[in-house]
Amino acid sequence: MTGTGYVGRAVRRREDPRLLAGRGRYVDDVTEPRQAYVAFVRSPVASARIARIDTSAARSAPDVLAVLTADDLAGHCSGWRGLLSWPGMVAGEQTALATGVVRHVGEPVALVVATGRGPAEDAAELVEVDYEERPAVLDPVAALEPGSPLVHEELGTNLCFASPFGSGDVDAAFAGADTVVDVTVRTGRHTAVALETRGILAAFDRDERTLTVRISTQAPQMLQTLYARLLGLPENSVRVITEHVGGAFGMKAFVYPDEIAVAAAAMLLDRPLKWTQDRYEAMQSDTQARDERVTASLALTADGRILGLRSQVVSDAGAWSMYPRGCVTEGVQVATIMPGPYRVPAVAADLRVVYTNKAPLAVYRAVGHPPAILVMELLMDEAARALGLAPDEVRRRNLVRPEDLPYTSATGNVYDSGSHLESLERAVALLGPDGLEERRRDAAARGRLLGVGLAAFVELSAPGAMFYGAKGAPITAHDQVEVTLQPDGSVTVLLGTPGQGQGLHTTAAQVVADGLGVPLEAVRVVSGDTGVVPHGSGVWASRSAVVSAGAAHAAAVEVRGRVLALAGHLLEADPADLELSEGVVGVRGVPGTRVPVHEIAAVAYWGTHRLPPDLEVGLGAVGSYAGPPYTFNNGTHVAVVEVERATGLVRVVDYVVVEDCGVLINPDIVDGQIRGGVAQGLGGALLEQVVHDPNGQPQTSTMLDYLVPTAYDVPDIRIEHIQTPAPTTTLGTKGVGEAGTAGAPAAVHCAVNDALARAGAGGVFRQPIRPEDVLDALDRAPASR
Amino acid sequence: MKPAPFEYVRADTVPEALAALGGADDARVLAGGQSLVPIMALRLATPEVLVDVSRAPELREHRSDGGVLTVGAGVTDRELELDAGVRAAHPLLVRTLSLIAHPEIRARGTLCGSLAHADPAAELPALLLATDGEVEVAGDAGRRRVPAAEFVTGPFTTALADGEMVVAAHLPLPGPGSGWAVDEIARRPGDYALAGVVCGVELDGAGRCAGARVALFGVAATPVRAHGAERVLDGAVPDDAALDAAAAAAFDGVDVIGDEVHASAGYRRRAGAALVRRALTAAVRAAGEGA
Repeated sequence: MTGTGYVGRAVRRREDPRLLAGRGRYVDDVTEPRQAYVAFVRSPVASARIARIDTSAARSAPDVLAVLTADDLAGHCSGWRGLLSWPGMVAGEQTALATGVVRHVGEPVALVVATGRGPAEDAAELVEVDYEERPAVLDPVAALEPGSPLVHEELGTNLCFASPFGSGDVDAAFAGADTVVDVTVRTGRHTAVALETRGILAAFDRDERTLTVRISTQAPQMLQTLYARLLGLPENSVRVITEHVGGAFGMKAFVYPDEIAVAAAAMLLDRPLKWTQDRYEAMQSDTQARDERVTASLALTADGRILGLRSQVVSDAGAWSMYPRGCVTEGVQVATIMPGPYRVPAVAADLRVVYTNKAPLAVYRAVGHPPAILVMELLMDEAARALGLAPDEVRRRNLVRPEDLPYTSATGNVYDSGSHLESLERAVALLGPDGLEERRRDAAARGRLLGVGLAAFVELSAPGAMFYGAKGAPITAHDQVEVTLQPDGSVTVLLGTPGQGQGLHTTAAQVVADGLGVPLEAVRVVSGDTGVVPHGSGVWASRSAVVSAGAAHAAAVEVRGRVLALAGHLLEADPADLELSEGVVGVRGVPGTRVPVHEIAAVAYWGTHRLPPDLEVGLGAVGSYAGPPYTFNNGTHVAVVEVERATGLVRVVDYVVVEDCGVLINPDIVDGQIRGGVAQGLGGALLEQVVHDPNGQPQTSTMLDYLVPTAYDVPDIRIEHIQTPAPTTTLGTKGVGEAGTAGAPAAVHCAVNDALARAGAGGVFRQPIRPEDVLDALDRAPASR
Repeated sequence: MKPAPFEYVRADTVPEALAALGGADDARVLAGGQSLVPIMALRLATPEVLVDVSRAPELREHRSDGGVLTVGAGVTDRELELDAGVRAAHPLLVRTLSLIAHPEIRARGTLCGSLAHADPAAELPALLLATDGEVEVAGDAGRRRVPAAEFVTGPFTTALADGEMVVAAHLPLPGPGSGWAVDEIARRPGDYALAGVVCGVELDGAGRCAGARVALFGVAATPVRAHGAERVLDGAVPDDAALDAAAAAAFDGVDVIGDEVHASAGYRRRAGAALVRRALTAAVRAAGEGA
């Protein structure tokens, strides 16, 4: 490192002032000349054949420009299959507007274009669609029975993908076990509820034959590639712009049929078109997640050492395997992350991913980790109770120890570094176990049961090509960053990865300022426009602090080298003897040789006659990152809850996080990521669930019914860091964006079950934990009355 | 989502409002709009005409007179909640208001609008029912007062006839010697209640219950009186045993609703009984302190 030391400092986020003051630019904030508006006709039923669509009344409604169905788009937008090369995986062919069959409530069927959104919605009500309803497939287990109706008749099965995972002799482990505990767990179907709903503004230039798409997405370059492919354009003719993005969490990492339908319609009609999603549309058509049914058993010795883990996972994929990431990542992660930070010598997991008539299931913050970690931590607590051990003790006896590293899990994940045991000890200490009895008595006096829950976890971050690229999906695994020193000494950073509120513009500036040796204020960061920035793969899988930071560092160091080479010539010194810090070059140890970097830069731009012809004068460089396949962060969460005996209401009253994501670039930004992640995980544990009625109608289409945590529901969160540098990443960083969400559902859930156990009640094994689940558990307890 | 097209009429007087209401097949009164506007945005309500009464001067008043608080149809929840006179005269109302959604919503939402909307989970219709309030209704035939027990006739349905509007609510002030409490169970603070109760107890000189009023909300198609609980308490010394018995009887004869999303009928009944127990305890304590 050459640093002046911005990395590691809680530099204030440069993104915040405009966002907090309402000056962000989201898709809906931008208007093009001649822009028209789109509204969709969506399926009101979960499963039906479309017998007839009559658009004549809608076409003749006031201010309507066009009404399009699948037939109209057929020659203009190819269909696709959300298929990755997982052995045996199958996926149906999807089109931008439903072709002949609808497979979930909310699927787009027709698109109405009008001069205003109101008239477009009015006309959408006039589109007549005759649906021949068919029985909906809603239960993924029943969907595998012979004779079940099929979501995709062309596939001949509802089974999307099935696979075993794991290694080691599990049968021997269970045969030799002193104790076996098991759990059957059901986690609720979630959706992301982004503050900024999805939206697109598409404009086609018929002279240049270029398509410009302003869209709320996590992966602009991925959409550039796929829109080009599906719409029949060269990639250099598609420009994707994403400025501010109001929340995505994995949900905005796909080609959505409604969005590409708008792009296709904009080309067809030769008119800029905007569609801004409504909340009720979001609740019906955004990707969903976490809908997992898991049965798992853990084999242990009498002294609490884990011998083996078995699990059966059924993942409810919904109606479509979303393009291009597919629908199996969550299930695969549930199966393979489950051993977590523990030494589990033998694992046998059996995964089945099943199509149903619901909105598609896909990746969502901490993909698969929440159910996996929840199941493992519930098993650990069951083991502790069965063996008469304290919850922390059973974990202590099984966590990966420093001497075990690098450790390869029985599911093939390599933990190259970490503080698995230390994070537990620190979390227990931070909680302050000495005061617990008093807190318990105080709660009891108020009719409440106090419970404490532990969750030790690992989180896979910053994956490389093995995740998707190796399976045939056009999802880049590396990023590029271009750093340019301008003639006046200011620095422009073009990030391949868009900054979307996670603070990436701030952290990238810190890394570049250090790597290049300039003041932080001299660095300006630009991202989110594929017409301007180099390639990148988007914001996903907790990767930016590793991948973008690595690429930014590489570019900055390259430019620094060029500056020093120039300076060496100008100062008649060996570049190796020069230092560049805070924008000033000097010969190390020789006062009076200090030259501001802009004087060097000015020569590179305008005074090249002073330089030898073989010297590289360009002060812009593209850096890229090609790190390890992934890097795991780790940590321990402790939740303290109060359960009200009379009502079953659960309140999280204290929360402790000890996190190890390696080197911290900006501690405040990391803490913000953790706090937001914990809030999201708490929502999953206690509140959030997409509910369908027996016909597949979503019952949670408004935010009165789909409950997300509010400021009232989230306690203060106490955070400590351990910094075990990643041995394989550029700066020693590990990803952290999803870590809060990975641990929190388990910690909160284990705390509730601890409270129930102290009242003599068995636990709850579903999420969200509703008040009535708590009362039911208390009712079943012999000792509770 | 955009609402279906509608005509907007701003009425500055009650007669203007009635004229506008009478002139259309499907006209709705707009006051705070905190319930109506979202359901219009979802196109679940598609009125032809929206008659905005929120700025009619005569509806913007509230006053305490002869033991009754009268609240005009344009008065917001937040105005009442922050009014020193209301806070002194009707603390039960203020506590009830504090349970409604969040301050931002109360800043626009109105008491009369909540009564007219008649959401089964809303607090204010239950308060009116428990305290024997009345709704003042204006129509072409003049004005009439509808007792709370007759006003809400079903979920989101009231005794208002076509062309009529609520102009005021009359809320009797709790008298000395009585104690009142309001409580509810909500998944998150500010949500509609899974079960709620407004209750009052009057004690005689001997410490016996001279009268009990218990109204439940969020548990049935309308707010309902818990007659079972009231009967147990009438004439009884409200000790723990009596309060237990009252709570256990609170749901007698109540047709409890449930749903998959928020809570089953069984939960509402069970947790609701515990809630009634807790609220009665608070009401008895308050009655004792007031006597």
